[in-house]
Formats: sequence, C-alpha cells, structure tokens
Amino acid sequence: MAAEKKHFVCVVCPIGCEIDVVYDGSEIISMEGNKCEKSEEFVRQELIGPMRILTTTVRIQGSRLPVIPVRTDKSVPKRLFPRMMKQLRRIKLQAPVNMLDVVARDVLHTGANIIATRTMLRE
Amino acid sequence: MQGDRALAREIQGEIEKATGKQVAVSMRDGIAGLHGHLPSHQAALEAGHLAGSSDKVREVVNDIVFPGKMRFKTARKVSEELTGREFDAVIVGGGVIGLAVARELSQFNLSIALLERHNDVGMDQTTHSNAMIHPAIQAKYGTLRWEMNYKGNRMWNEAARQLDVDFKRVGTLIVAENPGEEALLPYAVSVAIKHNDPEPKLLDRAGLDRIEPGLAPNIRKGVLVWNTGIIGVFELLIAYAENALSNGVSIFLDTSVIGVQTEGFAIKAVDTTRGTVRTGLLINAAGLYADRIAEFAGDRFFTIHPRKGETIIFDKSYQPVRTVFAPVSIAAESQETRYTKGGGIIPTTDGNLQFGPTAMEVSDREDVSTTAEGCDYLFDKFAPVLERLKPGYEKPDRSKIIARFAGCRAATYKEDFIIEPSGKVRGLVHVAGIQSPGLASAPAIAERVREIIREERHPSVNDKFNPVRNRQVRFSKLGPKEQDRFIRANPRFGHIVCRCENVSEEEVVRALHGDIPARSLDGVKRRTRAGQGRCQGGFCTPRIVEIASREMNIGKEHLLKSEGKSYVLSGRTK
Amino acid sequence: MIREVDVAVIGSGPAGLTAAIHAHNSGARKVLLLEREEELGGILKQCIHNGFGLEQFKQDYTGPEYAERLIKELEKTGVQCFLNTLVTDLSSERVITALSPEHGALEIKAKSIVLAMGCRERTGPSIGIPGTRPAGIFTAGVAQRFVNIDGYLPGKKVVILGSGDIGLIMARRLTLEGARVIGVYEIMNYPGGLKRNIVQCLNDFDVPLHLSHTVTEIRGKERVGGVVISKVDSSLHPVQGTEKSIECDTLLLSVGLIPENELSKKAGIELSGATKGPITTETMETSVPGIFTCGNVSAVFDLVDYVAQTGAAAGTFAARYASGSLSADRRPVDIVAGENVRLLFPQRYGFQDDLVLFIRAAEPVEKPVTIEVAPPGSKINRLYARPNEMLRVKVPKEKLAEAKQPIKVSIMEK
Repeated sequence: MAAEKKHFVCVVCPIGCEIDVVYDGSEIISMEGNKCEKSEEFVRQELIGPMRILTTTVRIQGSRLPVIPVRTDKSVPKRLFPRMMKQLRRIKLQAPVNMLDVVARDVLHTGANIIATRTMLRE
Repeated sequence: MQGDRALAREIQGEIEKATGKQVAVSMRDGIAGLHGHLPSHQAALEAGHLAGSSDKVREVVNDIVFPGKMRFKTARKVSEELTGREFDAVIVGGGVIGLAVARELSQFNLSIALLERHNDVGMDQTTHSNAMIHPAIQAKYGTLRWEMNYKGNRMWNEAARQLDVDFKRVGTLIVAENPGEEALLPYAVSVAIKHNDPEPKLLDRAGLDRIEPGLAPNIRKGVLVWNTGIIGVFELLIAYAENALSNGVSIFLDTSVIGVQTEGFAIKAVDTTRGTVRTGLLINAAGLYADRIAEFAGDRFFTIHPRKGETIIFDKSYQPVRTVFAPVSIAAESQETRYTKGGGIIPTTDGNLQFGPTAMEVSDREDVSTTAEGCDYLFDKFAPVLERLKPGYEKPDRSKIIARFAGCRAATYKEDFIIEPSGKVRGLVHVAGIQSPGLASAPAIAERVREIIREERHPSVNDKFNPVRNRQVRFSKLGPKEQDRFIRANPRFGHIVCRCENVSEEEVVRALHGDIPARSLDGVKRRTRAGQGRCQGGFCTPRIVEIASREMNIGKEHLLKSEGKSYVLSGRTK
Repeated sequence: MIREVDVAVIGSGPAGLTAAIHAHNSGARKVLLLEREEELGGILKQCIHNGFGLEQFKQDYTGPEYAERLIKELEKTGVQCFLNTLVTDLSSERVITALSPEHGALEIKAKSIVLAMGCRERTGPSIGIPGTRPAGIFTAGVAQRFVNIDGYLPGKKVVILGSGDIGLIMARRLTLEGARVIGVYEIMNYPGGLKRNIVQCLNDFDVPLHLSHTVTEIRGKERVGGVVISKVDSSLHPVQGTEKSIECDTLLLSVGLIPENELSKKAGIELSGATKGPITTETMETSVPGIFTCGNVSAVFDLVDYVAQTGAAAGTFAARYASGSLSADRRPVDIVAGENVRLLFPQRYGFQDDLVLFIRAAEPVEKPVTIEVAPPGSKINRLYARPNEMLRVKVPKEKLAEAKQPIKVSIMEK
C-alpha cells in the first residue's frame, strides 16, 4: 500500500492545529503543523476511525414535550451514526424519565449506552 | 367612424415613432385596442401609455405580445359547495374597495356575497400600501381619481370612528430649504385649495417647531397640508369585513372566479373554484385582475398593467418624524411623476417609519419580490433628506430596517379610476383601475357604487344596518390595573407570546377564532402584530405555531406561513 | 400588588441561574428569579449537543445536563422562581413590572437587580436579501428549537447563511435527522464559529463551508424554492457574474447575536456601542446603581463557562449591594480598546475585585501575541488571537491598585 496524505484539524484543545499527515493505512509516516504531542493520538484515532459522542432526541409519551434529548455515554464510531439514528427512531419512552436514565443499552454492540440528558416529568 | 380611423392611425404613428415597430390599432367607442408584437415589455407599456395619453381615448386594451409576457392562469375548481347558492349581489375582490363596497351595500336589503381569491382580506394592493390617507393635492385635477380622493379624504374621521380603527391626521409637511423654495410655498397652498383640500397652514419657524421639532436652522418656512392621514390598514380591512358580516354580508375566502355566465347581455351567474353562484348583479372590484373579470363578463375595455412599489420599514426605535415629511424638492417631484419612481417619508400608526413606495412597471401581477435596487433607491433618496433636515436626530441606518415589502398597483393606461355600470352587460358594475390613492378614496368609492346600485336597482333600505364595529382589546395598551383584571378573568392574557410587541396568548387565540379568522402565521401576525417587532418572529414563531396547531386542531406540519403550499415545517423528525 | 425583594434576577439561562445561586450564597435573603418560559434553563434546553462546562466543571455536558445541574443547585437554595413571567418594564429606581398568568400584573421592588435576559438572533441580512418572502426562512436558533424541543424538521434541503456556532451545530443536527445541508456560506473571509465546531459539525459530515460568499436572492412563492449565491469582494460587495443558483427548500440564518437590552434602555442604563450591552465594572454593576448585568445580555460570549462566570460575579455583588456592604470608595476608571481590539468586557474597573477581561480581536493573528493592559502594564501571552474566539485574561486586584484613567488593552504580535 502506498503512502497517502491527509489534512486534519486537531480538536483536542481550542488551538485547532492544522496538521498535514502522511500515512500508510493506520500508520503515521510523518506529521506537520501540530503544536503538541496530543495531536498524534488524535490523528491516529482519526485514521483508524473517528470516535464521537452522538447527541440527538428520542420520542417520549406522557410529558409536556414530544421528544427528549439523549446522548451516548461515551464516544462511538462516527460511521455508526446513521445506523444509530435509525435505531433510535424506533424508541418511544414513557414519562417520567430522569436525567442519565439509560434509554438503550450497548447500542449496536459498541458498549455504549444511550442516556437521557434531562429529566422529563409526567404531565 | 371616420374620426376613429384617423385617431387609430395617429396612435399607430406615434407608437411607430417611439418603438420603431408597427402595431395594429383599432378604435371603437373611445376604446383603443392594440395588437401585434413588440420586442420588449417596456415597448408594449410605452405603446399603451401613448394610446392612453390621447384625450379622445377613453381606455386602452393592450394585447401587444412581447417576449416573456405572462398568460393568465385559471385556478382549478376544488369543490361545488357554493353551487345552488343565490345572492342579489356578488362582489369580486376582498381588498379595501370590495370590503368598503360590501359594507356600504349592506345598508340595503340585498343578499350579498363577497368572493376573495386569497385566504385573507386585502392581500394584494391594500396590505402592500403605505397605509396613508392622501390629500388630493397630488391627484390630477379633474379626474375621477382626484374626485374620489378629495371626497374620500374628508370621510375618514367618521369612518375610522365607526370602525374603531387607528387614524391620525398627521399632515404632509412641505418645508423650504432656501428662499427660492420659500417662494414656492404659496403656490403649494393654492394647488391644495384648487384640489379641494382644506386650506393648508403656512408656517413660520415657530409654527414648524410645534409640528416637527428639530429641523435644520436653514428651514424657516413650510406648509402643512394637514388633512393627510395615516391609518391602521390591516385593522381597517378586518373592521370593514366584520362590519359587513354583522350586517348580513357573506364573505368567501379562498374563492377564485373562473368564469361569468351571462344571458342576453345580463349577468346570470359567477363560476368559482368552489362552485357556481347565481346572481343578477356583479361588482367587479377585482383589483389586479379587474380586466380579467371584465373579460369573463364580455365587457373587456381596459387592461391592467401592474406597477410594483417597494417599501422599507424601520424599527420603532427610529422615529425621526411625526408628519409625512416632504421637502419642496420631493413634493414638487411627486406633482410631476405619475408613473415613474416616487415615494415618501411616511410614519405609520404603529410607530414604524416607512420609505416608499417605488414605482416600477412589471409584467407579472403576482410579483411582490423586493430588489436591491429598490431598497438602495429608497434609502439613498430619503436618508440624506432626513440627515440634512433633521440634523440633531439619529442618522438613518440600514441596520434599523426591519422589513421590506412590495406590491403591485392595478393601473389602467388612462391612469384613472373606472367606477361605472357596464355599457354592455346589464348587472355588471366596474370598480376598476383603483390604485393609489385607492385607500384614501375607499369611502367615497363605496358611496358612489351605492348610488349606482340605488339608481339601477332601487333596493329598499336595511333598517337594521349598524355602521359601528368595535375592535378586540389590545392588551398591551391597557394600564397595569386593567391588565391585572383581564388576567384574573382569563389567565391567557398573562401569557405573553410576542415579547417585542407584547402580544398575549389570548389575543392570538382570538385572532384564530375571529369572524375573519387567521388561517396562517402571517394572518396571526397581521391581526396581532406578533412577529412584527424587531426580532421578526425569532421568539414567538414556535409559540404561535404551537397555539395555532392546537386551536386549529391540525398537525404543525400542516400549518401555513401564508397560503397555498407555504408550509412552515416539513414534518416530524421521528 | 407590590412585592419587595432583596435581589431580583431577570432570566434563568446559565447567567441568571448562576447569579441567583450566588446571590443566595452571598447572603441575600429574598432572591426572586423571573423566567418568561414555562421552565428554567433558557436557551440551554434546546442546545442538546455536548461541549458545555469543560472549563467550569471539567465535564463535557450537553446543554440540558448543564442546566439541570444548575437547577438542582438552585433548588437547594430555596430561591423563589416565577415561571411564565415576562418583564415588561424596568425603572432606574429598580421597580420591575411583569405579567404572568398566575400572578397577574406584577410590580416588584428590588434592592438590587441582575439582568440576565440573554440575546436574540440577528435577522438583518435576511431582510436585506432581495427576492420573495416565502416560508422556509429560519434563524438557526428557531430551527434548533423546532427540531430539539418540538421534534419537527424545518425542511429537507437546507442552505445556511453565516457560520455562527448555532448554524454549524444545526448543520450537523439537521444532517443527522435526515435533511440535506447543501452548504454554509459566510460573507467574511474567516468563519464565525469556533474551530472545533467547523471540524465536528461540517467536516465530519462533508458539509462544505464557502468563505467570502453570501446569499443575494431568495426565490420561491409559497415555500423557499432556491437561493442565489454570490462571491463577495474585499469590501463585502457581491461580485457580478459569480451568481450561482441553488435549489433548496430552507434557508437558515446564523449571522450573529444581539444582546437583548430593551429593558436596560427603559431603565436608562448606558450601553456600549461595541458589545451592545450595558457598560459595567468588574462587579457587573451597570451605570444605574444597584442594577447588575451578566451573560449574553452584557456581551455575546463564546462559552457558557464565561457566561456563568459573569453570573457568579453579578449575583455576588448584587447581594452585597442589597445588604449595603458594597462600598464604592474609588471612582471607576475606563477600560478602552487599543490595537487590534474590537470589543472589551467589562468596560470599567471599580477596584473591587480582580479584573477578568474578555477581549475580542479585530483581526485574526495566527501567531503568538501579547495582550497588554496598561497602565499598570500587565503583559499576558497567548498563542494566537482570533475574532471568533474570545480571549480571557485575568489581572489581579493588587496589580491594578495603581491603575489610572484610562486602562488601555491592546493585542500585539510578539
């Protein structure tokens, strides 16, 4: 496999270093533009597969509002977002729900749970 | 006949001279008919105006084809719900003219239906006007437009009182900036008097300071044409409609006319998108489409050419003038300009200053789009006037513009009003070519139509007619004690949904359940002012969507911004 | 009925909640929190994305979590809250007029007041865009509320004008919910939002960002049918011949926020032309004695942590004012913008506390800079200065004892 080039903006801290990376698969050959070491770990993960927190809403019944905000309790592969969104579309909660209540467990076998990010009382 | 042919040839020659092209011109009963092809909209307009400028031409039918000319679209029938209904009179058009006529005719024992193609009243010219009651000083002397203007202007004190609508005679203030202009002021006074305006006031500096404080030091004299008024125009439409309804008129919104049936040159029925209504009396107050209705009835003798006007509106925090403000330079110009760019500096009853309107001939009657040129023109023309003449006041600033709008005037090539029974079709009355100052003229126009109907039909008088209508409470205008009482009686008054204009939930609910109910977000906005403030609906839109979907018992995805398919939202996320 | 309280706080977003908590914790006995909506939390309730509280709590909260944490803290204090209560008037004598379905027309006399009304979204450019006014034009925040609170999608094919943070966040949110975001168009030649949002909201979802572009026409009669995009030149004027027509059903505006100071104006509070918020000292006191300000009504901050910080100061000093223990033995000195400073907060120093300065640069500097506060001549180094990222610097009270009128703040390349 030949070496490839890619541009990244590091989001580990607010500086947002613009980094040019030469890599082969998931192996970094060279990096330019980063101001600290933390960027390396970030870039490595981005090459393997970016991990992000997913925040969205799911339906809820019996409360004043029709949807309740939720998130994954840890970072999950970004590429799974569309499938997760699809799966979460099927969920319908019943009020009351408390903040941090688990809404769905081990979603798509990522080991991450979906948790409610606010309390919604029954009305 | 000989004279007609000569006149037609003369007009043809003039058009050829101006456009370099030949068109066919016919003359019959004073009506000039233009046929053929011209290379542009502009050329076709010029031909129409050339024909219209002859004293011997009563009206112009302009059938000249040009690239990009719009064809009329006939609306599709949606139901037969009106089929079988019969009315003594049918009024086509629910603008201020149609509504004023409806209310006026409800003084007679006539069953009356008013048909309006939009889902709300006054959606074409009236709501796009500057809400001004013009003095007659600018109208062309001797025309019907002038007569209706001066007569209508005088009627507003009583009409506004009966209808419970904000109305204020703020006056047009013509100020002179130098001795040369000062010399013209007595002339302005004489023109106003000649035009049957009440005698204007010649003011010295002390007089000016009382009317319009803070003028530049070089301004020493001015004239106040004091009968100029400003009016709450949407409230007026609702008022006319409510009063007409309470006096027995039926109003059908969302109802377009798609044909007129005659029998032996007499009106027999009106075909609409909601079925066929039988009637022997058709009043054509269809504004931008009055020529289309005339054509349906077999009496096409004029053509409407839409003339777009754009206006810009400022935030309430910018209120530099109390009067319609016109330095001599601008006042003199508007004397001359009948169909070129014009406009003025005009306050509103709600406290938002307007610059406008422009005047731009367009080929699409539905064209209500604003343009960069229109906005620049208005700002560049009027901002320096305020800066120069009110130097102590905050400078006009584009960031204070909170809205821009445009509407089309329904002008004929004679640029005069047509208010007359048809010479061809019995039971047809035209109220057409009504453009500016149609609003100022409305009560006089309605009265003239009333007299036409009285002479033609001799209807008996409706003893139960009540000209008085009372408006809904405006919660924000109440004192704290009264507000408290209202909230105790109905807590929804205490729930303010529009924080810019302080509109309560109860007022929104009432707008949605009124006699002429709001059927869209814009409808709520027009009735309550919710969303008309500086945040332009940023805060209240989701709240009004909530209330409207609840009160109308429809899903939020079915709620309209205006009409047709103007859905606010596209659907649930999940 | 007239109510009397020690401290009244107007608004219960992050600034107001923090101010109320701190007012209580600083000894104010009767604290009243006024909120116009049906629940506490302000705009945080619709900001369901994460990234809140990284500095303040060292936690990566979503907006609702951040709000709920503050609300729980507030509940422990016993501070009274009036919900659905809209303040309609405010006097310089600290009398509040308000309306509420439950309490009717209210009059509240407060010993001190904290303004925490937040900001509203700019709509200006949309008004300036020629064309029609169909359905489908939203500010980003209104769209955010429709999606996150009401569960409705504003449209399916979206163009975003302006690269403010809410617009960027909404680009991601709408994409996740199945809409197609065609692109973000920014009139300036640098983005308006934070870099991390550009990466995580646009790049992550392949939404292109077009700098030096703007919308020059809106098309469509009933619902938006499309927009025309043009390039702009260095003076921000559209370049003729660069027009490009784009089909879409929605136009989102993310073109800035304006502090909401209608009430401040009614009370006669002096406003800053730069921040559009009240001119204040480090105690957050405005030009009207006893009226304090915090959060986005004072200046538009980038981070909720900054907002909360001003809320804490406002609540603390408002409580001290109410108890009569806030002394003003020295006249405040002005703090003025020097080189490459577009705006500053606060704008005065009153010798009461350390000075925490929030600074927005006028022009981006992508190399190390020195922020000079002089006199006394404090120099603070930063790695860069960007207009879209507020700089925060702290100058200890002791260092400022010798401060003289005016204190000048400059950003200089190192």
